[in-house]
Amino acid sequence: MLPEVALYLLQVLLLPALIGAAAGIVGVVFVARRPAVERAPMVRRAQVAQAVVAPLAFLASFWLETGPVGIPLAERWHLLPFAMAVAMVVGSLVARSRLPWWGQWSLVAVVLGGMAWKFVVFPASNPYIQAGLLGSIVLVGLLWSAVSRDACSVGMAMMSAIVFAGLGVLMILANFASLGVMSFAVSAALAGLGMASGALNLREVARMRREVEASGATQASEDAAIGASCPGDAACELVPWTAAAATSLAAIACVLALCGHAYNYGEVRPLHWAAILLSPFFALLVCKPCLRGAKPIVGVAWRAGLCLVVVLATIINAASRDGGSDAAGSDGVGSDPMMDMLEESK
Amino acid sequence: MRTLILVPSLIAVPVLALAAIEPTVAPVAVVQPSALGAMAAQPAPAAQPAAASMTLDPVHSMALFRIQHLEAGQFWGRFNGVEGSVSWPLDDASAPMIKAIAKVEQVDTGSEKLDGNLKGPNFFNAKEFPEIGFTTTAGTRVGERHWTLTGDLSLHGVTKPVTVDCVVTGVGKGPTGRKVGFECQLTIKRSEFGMTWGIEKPPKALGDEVKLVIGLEADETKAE
Repeated sequence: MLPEVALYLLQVLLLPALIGAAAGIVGVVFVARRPAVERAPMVRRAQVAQAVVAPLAFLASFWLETGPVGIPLAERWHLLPFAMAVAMVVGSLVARSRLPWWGQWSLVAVVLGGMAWKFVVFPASNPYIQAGLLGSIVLVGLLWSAVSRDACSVGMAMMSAIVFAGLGVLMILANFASLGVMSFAVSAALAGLGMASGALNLREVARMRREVEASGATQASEDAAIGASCPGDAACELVPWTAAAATSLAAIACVLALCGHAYNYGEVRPLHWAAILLSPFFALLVCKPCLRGAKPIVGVAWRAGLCLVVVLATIINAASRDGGSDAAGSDGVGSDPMMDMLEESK
Repeated sequence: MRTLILVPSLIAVPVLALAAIEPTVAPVAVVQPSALGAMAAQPAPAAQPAAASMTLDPVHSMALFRIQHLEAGQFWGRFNGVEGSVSWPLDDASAPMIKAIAKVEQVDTGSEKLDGNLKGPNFFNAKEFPEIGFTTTAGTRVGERHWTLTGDLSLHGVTKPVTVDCVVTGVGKGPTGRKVGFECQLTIKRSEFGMTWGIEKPPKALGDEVKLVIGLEADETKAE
């Protein structure tokens, strides 16, 4: 059984993650390979690649886990791949535009929020829930795009990876295992993109330091130091996140959270979904001047760490509620097929 | 004056009480003498007693399901409170026409967590498909009080014809009239109803074949 379970996890989790991450990494690598003077046009293309990472990973995971869906849909949650495809197209088109960050955010939020409000309807929905979905896409999109502007690409990728992993755990607690696996696939793809971006950014910092040491220019040395402390504003930041990519990512997260809530048969409350969606907001608390002079890893750790604390606290709260309601105690673990599988694969 | 009131009252009470009691034997059809000649001239039609209309007693009706877990044990669960109706003349003259509905919310495995998992979209998807229904369309007698029923099973948004082996377990008396018990069995492939989670993905977590044992108890419905 163990090899089959490992193969299954490889198929529905790792493979989509690799596909999604590869799409984003290719963009970063292309930029990294270009000479500094030729990078500007390539950055915009790489930002498009960043916008497709999460939807691509989700689509691949959905295809491998559930298979193709027919029209009309057999179940309402089967509209998720269509929603992801729309988010991918809108996110990548707007990411390539020359709009300022607030323009990108408002355009993506209005288009995706409006479409979700009209078409993404799950069971037991009502006009208030649909309006709430539109509002949450606008609000969470605003916060995430603000975070992407403030934090470096590594930090943004790591924070969103933590959010999707948190959503995945909540899906499992809400008894929606397959959507949990898909969320984990998105999380893994974003984590892969973040790690690759981080490695290439560090390489770039090292290259700049070498150039600085060779030339002995004091101004360049200061730039490199600032870049090391806050890569988002520095030349060593190869592909910064756009507001369009961040907002489309936020829209995906909001739709997944609403889907998990609509089919919830666990002890997950709306507050739990909301807390995880808003967790990157806490990263804004760590302002740039606070981290000036610190190493890049410190900035990423502070921001991702704050996000992780909120997500873990939310999950522990939701899981403890779930455990409290199950009078059977340990029986709850052994009787869940997904848990059985995970226990066996250890 | 008091006697005038008492006497009719004493007569009326037993009369009304007798009227309230249903006859325990089937009513005998009264044939008019004028009609006898006409009937004798024609071939005698097969006796088709009127089918009794019955309502399923949800307290004593349930559907059990059995499925293989991790290629090992056979796991049992049940749906409580099966509702519906039965139309049957209470003998083997014709097949019992059963209409039964189980509510997915009433699934009971003994584990609250597993119940939630079964109600979720990976299995029954109770939010979208809250009921499982069976409606008899025809029946073939295979023995004394033993029928093979064919009908439509609606599960997970898919309706398919199925064959059910059904035994009448007994006809008794309940507080409100006659009671009839049925035990029906069938085996289905859940993949045919779009419930594929756990068959191949995750691999072999749960079997595809599901055995259903349905115990029904129906109460005769009084004519209004």
